[in-house]
Amino acid sequence: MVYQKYEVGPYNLHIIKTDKFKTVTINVNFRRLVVKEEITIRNFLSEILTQSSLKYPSNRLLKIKAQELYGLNLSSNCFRTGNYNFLSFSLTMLNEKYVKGSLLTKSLDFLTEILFIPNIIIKQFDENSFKIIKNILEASIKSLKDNKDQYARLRMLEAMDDNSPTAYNMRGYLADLDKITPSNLCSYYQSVIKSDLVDIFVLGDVDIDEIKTHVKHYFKSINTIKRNPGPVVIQHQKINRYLRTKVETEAINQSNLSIGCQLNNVTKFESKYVMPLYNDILGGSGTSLLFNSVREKESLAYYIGSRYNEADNLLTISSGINSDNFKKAVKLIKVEMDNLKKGDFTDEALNNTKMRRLSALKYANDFPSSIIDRYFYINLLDDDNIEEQKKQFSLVTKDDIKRLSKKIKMAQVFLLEGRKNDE
Amino acid sequence: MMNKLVIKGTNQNIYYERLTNGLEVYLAPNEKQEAFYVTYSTKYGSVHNEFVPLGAKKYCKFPEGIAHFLEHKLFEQESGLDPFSFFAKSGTIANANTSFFKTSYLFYGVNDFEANLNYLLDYVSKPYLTDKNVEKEKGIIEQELRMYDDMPFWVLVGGLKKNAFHHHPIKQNIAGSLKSIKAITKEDLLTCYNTFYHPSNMILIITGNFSKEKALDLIKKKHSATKTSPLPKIKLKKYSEPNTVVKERLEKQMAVEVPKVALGIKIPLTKLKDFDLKVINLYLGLLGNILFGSTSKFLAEMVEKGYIIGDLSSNRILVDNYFFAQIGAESNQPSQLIMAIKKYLNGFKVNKKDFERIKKVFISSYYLTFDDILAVNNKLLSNIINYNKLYLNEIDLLKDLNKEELDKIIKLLDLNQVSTCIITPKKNK
Repeated sequence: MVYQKYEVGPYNLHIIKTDKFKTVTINVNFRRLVVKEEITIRNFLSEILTQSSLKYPSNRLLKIKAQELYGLNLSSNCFRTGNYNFLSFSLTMLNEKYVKGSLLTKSLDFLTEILFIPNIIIKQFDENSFKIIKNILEASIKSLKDNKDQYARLRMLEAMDDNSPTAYNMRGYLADLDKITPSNLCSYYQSVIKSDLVDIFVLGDVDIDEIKTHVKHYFKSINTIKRNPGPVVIQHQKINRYLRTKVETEAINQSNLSIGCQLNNVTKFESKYVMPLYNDILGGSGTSLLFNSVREKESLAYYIGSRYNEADNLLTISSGINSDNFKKAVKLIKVEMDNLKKGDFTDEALNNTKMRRLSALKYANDFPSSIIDRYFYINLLDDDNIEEQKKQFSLVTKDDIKRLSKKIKMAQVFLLEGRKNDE
Repeated sequence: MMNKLVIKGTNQNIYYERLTNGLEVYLAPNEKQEAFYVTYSTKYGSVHNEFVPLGAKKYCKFPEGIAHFLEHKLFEQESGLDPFSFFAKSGTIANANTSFFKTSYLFYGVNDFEANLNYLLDYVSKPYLTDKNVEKEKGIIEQELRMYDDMPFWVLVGGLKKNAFHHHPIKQNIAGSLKSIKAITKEDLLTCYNTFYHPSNMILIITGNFSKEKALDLIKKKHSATKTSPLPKIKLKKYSEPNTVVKERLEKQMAVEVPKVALGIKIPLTKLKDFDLKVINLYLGLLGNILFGSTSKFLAEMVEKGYIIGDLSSNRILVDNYFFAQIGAESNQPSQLIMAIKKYLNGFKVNKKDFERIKKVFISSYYLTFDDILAVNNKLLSNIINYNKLYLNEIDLLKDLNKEELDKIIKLLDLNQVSTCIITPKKNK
């Protein structure tokens, strides 16, 4: 596998050459600082660009074209990493060496028509596509509530710090949706093309020089030099002095527990190496402290787990329980976090989680998307290269974990309370 | 001796052997990948609830959800070292799952292949059941069931099956109900275990990066030490299922914001006896894609009218003498959508261009499957479970698909037995 990066000015081009896959994957990422009021319109843009284009004016025609290109898969989405909102397009196509004809240039034609020749007539997006996407987004925003675990997590983050990007609802907001028009969407599109930072990733068994030439030609619409607008990683502005608890009720069968913990003043070594291991030991797998205590010993839950988000400086814990067991579950979680603070966990647990990380680094090579992710984070979050990552993980000691655990503060508990046990 | 088989049109070889005790072993190495993926499965799923237990003479009925319960319990080991902990030592990911027709135990990783394989074969052969640990599991599974009960699409599909089938246990939830799991005992679990977890009812499939010689050596050594001869065929209860559905319409209220709708079509196979089951399934997949997929005119029309938000999803399962096809969507006009789909099912035409284009996509995605060791493992397993056959020539079957034959099949399809399920938002309390 060969990785090369070219800083062209208007965009960065990353080429990963590997003969492992029969596909070629192309990712185009636009990024800018996340602004709460822009989340909805950015989602709208993401959806409408892959809904239709000037040449393929309905979704059906656009999808027919994709199928004609041997089932080319094109998807788009918006996601937040730390302070940034990414608008990302991902294309997967069969490598042209398996078919007759120049599939690569045809696919690039298709991708760039969608990105640069959208369904805009006189500075307005096509009304019909607009109407369809508006319905989709409205349902998507509303249906956050249909996913209880996700909903509880967002309510927890809002309770913790409403103003922090960590509490933004990335599905968007109905009030903002109402303000979007075919014409202001067009202005937003133009500003994205003009001012967003752009990264292009190409992975597959490709000719590096050929890709460079193609990209230069196909992405010439991206031509303004951009400046980096600021840091990715979020530093918490609001530090809760005391643990706060909030409960909401809903007519559901299970109560969803969500807990947020803030991290403060962690070093690079801690955030990249110690914290992932801490998270694994606490609640990252079927051998974790929480799994063993809350599920296996006490039989309170089916799922219980923790997640660490480096760019958000955040550790979250979630579980589904009976509401009668709410206090007991929170107490058990606190006990396990205290055990980590005291260093009350086995060397074996630490070694196992290191093995897990090292294995994950290795089998990530089996998937185009995880290889691209790796280089994405090396560039975005200043991740070390693989060899260095392996080395650093193996250096983490029990004392490192103890020291770090004192910088983790449980800040907010939230319960979406369902029916009582016997109902 | 292992038989070497080749999956036509690919570089993927499969080495197959049936051991003297009846275990079927399939090894499909792929050295381009880093990881190995191992599944060890028994042909025992949630629908196998009534059978003649090993050593008994009469049919016996067990509580719903028992296969899934047993899957949970195999993670408890007498030594105290549970499977998750063992696999964790080498950074290997382990899991298990129960579906309608099978239960699988699996691991996925890059280190200590042989030790892990040895352990997998070991722990699945050693159930450790006590009254106390069986009781303990009930609390965990209760929470699992409650979680599913809050997932609208889960509830939707559950409702469809229940309304479509009169007798066949496919109508039950895989994990059972709060009531049924309470009735499960240690003795029940052991009876099921002894009947279904014999090597002659099991399949071991390994895909990815590993040495086939070492794998087979180890498997043989392991199995020669244990149960040696295959058991007689397990007597499973047969169900005579009428073609009709139980109930045409079910409406439920849940704490959701966006209404959801699904249709289940119970398609009898009686008139399709001349066709191979797999071929029928390929045609139905193709037809589902043409009628309801992203390039269907019908979908575009429904979206335009505001009957569908986003996409339609469609899939199907093979249930004895039926294919049960399911179509689902989010919709603000669920009743109108149901009417439109029913009408469409009775008067659609397939055009040749759509057929050829989507066939080409199917062929291309078939080739791509072989980049992914999980997908290859699942493909082999589902072919064995559903058809008791590998279909090494699947690529020829795909290439031979033709519109004339599809038209012939369409004429023989009965698409009139439809059950529907709608989930609407609960009114304010």
